[in-house]
Amino acid sequence: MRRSIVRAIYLKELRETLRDRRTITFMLVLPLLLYPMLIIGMSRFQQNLEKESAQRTAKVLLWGEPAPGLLELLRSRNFDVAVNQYLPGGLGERLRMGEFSQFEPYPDAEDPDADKKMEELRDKASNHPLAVAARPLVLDRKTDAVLVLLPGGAKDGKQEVMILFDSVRQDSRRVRGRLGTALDEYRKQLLRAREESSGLEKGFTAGLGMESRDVAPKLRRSGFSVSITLPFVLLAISATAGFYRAVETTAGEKERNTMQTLLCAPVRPLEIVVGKFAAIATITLIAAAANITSLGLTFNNVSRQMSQGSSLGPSQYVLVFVVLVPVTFLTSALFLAIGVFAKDFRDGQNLATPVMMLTMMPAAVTMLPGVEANMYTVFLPCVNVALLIKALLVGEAQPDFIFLTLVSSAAYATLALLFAARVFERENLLTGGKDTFRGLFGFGDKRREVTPSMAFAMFCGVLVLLFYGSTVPKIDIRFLLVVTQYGMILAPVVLAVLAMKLPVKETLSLRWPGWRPMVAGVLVGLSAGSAASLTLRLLPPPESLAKSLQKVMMLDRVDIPIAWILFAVSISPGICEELLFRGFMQGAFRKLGMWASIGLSAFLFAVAHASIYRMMPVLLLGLAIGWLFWHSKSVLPGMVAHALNNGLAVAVISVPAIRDYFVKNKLQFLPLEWSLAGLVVCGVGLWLVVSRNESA
Amino acid sequence: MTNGVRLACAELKKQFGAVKAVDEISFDVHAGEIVGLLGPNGAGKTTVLRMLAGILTPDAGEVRVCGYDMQASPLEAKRRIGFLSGDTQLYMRLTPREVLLYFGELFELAEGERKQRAEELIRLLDMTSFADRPCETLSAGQKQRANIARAFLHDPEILILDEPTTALDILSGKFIVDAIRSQRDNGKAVLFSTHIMSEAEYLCDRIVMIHEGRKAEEGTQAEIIGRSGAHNLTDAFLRAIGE
Repeated sequence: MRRSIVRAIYLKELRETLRDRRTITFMLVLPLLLYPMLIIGMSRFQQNLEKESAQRTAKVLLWGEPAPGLLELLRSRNFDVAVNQYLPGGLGERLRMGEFSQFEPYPDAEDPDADKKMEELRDKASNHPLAVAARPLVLDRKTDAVLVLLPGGAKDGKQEVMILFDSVRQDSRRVRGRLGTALDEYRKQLLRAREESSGLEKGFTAGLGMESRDVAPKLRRSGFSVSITLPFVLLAISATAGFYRAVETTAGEKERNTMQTLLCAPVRPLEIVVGKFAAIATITLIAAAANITSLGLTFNNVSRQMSQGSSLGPSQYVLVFVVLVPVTFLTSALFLAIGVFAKDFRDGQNLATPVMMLTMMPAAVTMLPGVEANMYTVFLPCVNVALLIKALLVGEAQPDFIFLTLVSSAAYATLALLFAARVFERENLLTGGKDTFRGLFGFGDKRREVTPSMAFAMFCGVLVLLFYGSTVPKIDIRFLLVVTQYGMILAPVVLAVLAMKLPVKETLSLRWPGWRPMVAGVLVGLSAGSAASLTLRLLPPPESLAKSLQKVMMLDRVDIPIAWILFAVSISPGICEELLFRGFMQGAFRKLGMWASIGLSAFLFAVAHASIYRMMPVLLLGLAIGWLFWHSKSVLPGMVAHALNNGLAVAVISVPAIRDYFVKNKLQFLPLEWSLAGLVVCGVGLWLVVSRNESA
Repeated sequence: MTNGVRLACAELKKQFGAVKAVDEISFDVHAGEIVGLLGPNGAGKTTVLRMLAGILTPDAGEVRVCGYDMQASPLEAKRRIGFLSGDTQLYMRLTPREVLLYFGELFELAEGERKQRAEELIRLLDMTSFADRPCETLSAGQKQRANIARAFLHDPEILILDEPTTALDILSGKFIVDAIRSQRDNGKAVLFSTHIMSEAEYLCDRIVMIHEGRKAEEGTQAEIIGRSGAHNLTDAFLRAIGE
């Protein structure tokens, strides 16, 4: 791939976009104008409405005999009270005669039939003669609410009050709230009077005093108010901003036949797709940045107006932007690939719209109360980013969730980009023809080797499979581990090799490398873990990780024999993970050169272990095993090293003498001298495999 | 490159689903020669030209461009081809000058060279008045001149032109025809498809007629007319396709 060609395509696409008024309007003008206008305007309108409502004299009809002092209190609280007005004669008489009793209270929320009972009570209340009489008065705005005082208060000392209002009318709803507050105050007055008259201590009848205070800091409160809508808005912007450009640059170019002009230039399909993808991603990110800036400034302005004090700082918005990058890549690549399938611009819009909705709508879950990031949601495309943005804004983002969200989003984006690259290799599609599913995905193609992009696709596919597999809750962990290793790591590799009709042994480097590399594998396996543990001193893992690792290694289960643990945790990963990361992937990366192939496969190996705390040790182990693989041209030394490394970890935790030594000496890490000794042994192993290329 | 052959195809085949679009077509084009590819609509002319330009890959057969195998060395082969189609539009929001500079980058011309070539072509094809106007504001004739400039930009040894005068008025059409002749006079190999017989008669040194994906005739005008016993190229064409 030539950078100068990619750059030329990228700059041409950007130039065209910057001259497209529609895109510029959508990308920059709209966010910069719309949010301040809408949000500030609406919040001012809302504030004015609330202020006006609070100051407004509320119209209340009081039906029944007013309790002493109640009328005075209501009038002093800005209620315009009309006594027994619009009360039909017959109904007034029945009210005085005590024919009506208080509504039944609503059931407890814990009642299993609460919903049903609530519905019945609502129906009953709605058909109550007083409610029937009050309804037209409230609906016709002759009053905001009707306050019914049932007789008998003087007799038994308890005044029953009914408030009839219209929940749909905001005025009526507010007046109901104000009436509640005023009546509460009236009740307190009554109680105080009774305490005095009965010679009771002041506050005796209250029984319980309660005041609550919000302990959330200002920043968290501000973040929460923004976090309800911002993730969805940003995801929607990401999905839509690149949409027009992607369709224009694919289906539009096909329609105008400029695509064929581009194809007859000496340019590789991958250069075209990368140039176009980079341009779309840039445009989308510019739009996202404009939206974040505009929304941030607007929200800060609104929160200042609402006297909520300080708002979110720029660093939070920058973090949100960073999190948005992988999802932007995902949508850009998807639209780019889908646009190629369309005959013309209109067809492209029709094809891409459902995909846009599919990527955008799940993000709306952030608007639901109580939905937060967890081990399941971090692997759901788009939803994970929306929830992470929400968590970042309220200061709840955990490092592991950030890491897993970024990794899984990057995996989805890579898959989408590989799909786009594959589509751009299909000349029939690019020149306006059709293509078959079989042709598009290359099933049955007699390929002679695994390419780096296929290795990436395999990695992403396995990663997605693994993450979802690990969340299956009902399988016993001892079987889950084996199923994961053989079913989700090894099986896809073997199936892919067989589907491509490649020789399994050669493709996966299953060859005897000679004794020297095997001894090197043993040395690396025995020492790499202790050497890599040096990195744990830099980023100590939380205790929860150690516990969950123990659980994964089944060390909390006394019923599982140690042989099974070693088979599941040591031997199986040694075989399955090595065939994937070294045999399949590093084998495919071999053409990129020694350092790139070792580094890339080790990095992906570390990423697949799904924890930011284990990243460094696993990366170092991956580098050492990658070195063994490169020099021995065989996957076997790495299998030995990997299995031994895992087996040792099991031994360290499960052998009582070693465990007791750590507990007794209060050791958080492996002793430094052990780590340094491990480093030396590991170095000897790595030297041994290079020193003499001993072929089988 | 031997014997002045610039473009050669041998037993080209292309099938779309059940339809055989091109079936075992072979011919070549020499330096300083205009070869006309004639055929009714749907005969397979565009598919042949797209395979020769490297836009489509043949199901079978071989394309050689100045000795380079199109499948084995597509970039080397494409560097030597200028492709122009009658229905190709330009990038609407770019100016003709920007289009030329963009393709200059894609053909990896040095910065100075591409600017110089763009200027030369703007002058030569009388584009100065509209070279800096967005392509969406240009007339059909102006757009096609800009397209020709784009195809000539890297000074290719071979020009592949797919009905380049379609939808143009007489003056614009003549301008393009003259430009093609001047390229031939400069030693370029030109492969030209058309269904306008007068154009073919005026321009082509040799003619390849195709019908339903297969080659129906090949030779100079005189040879084809002589073999068919017709009085002119139109009748010879109709006889060749069995009408």
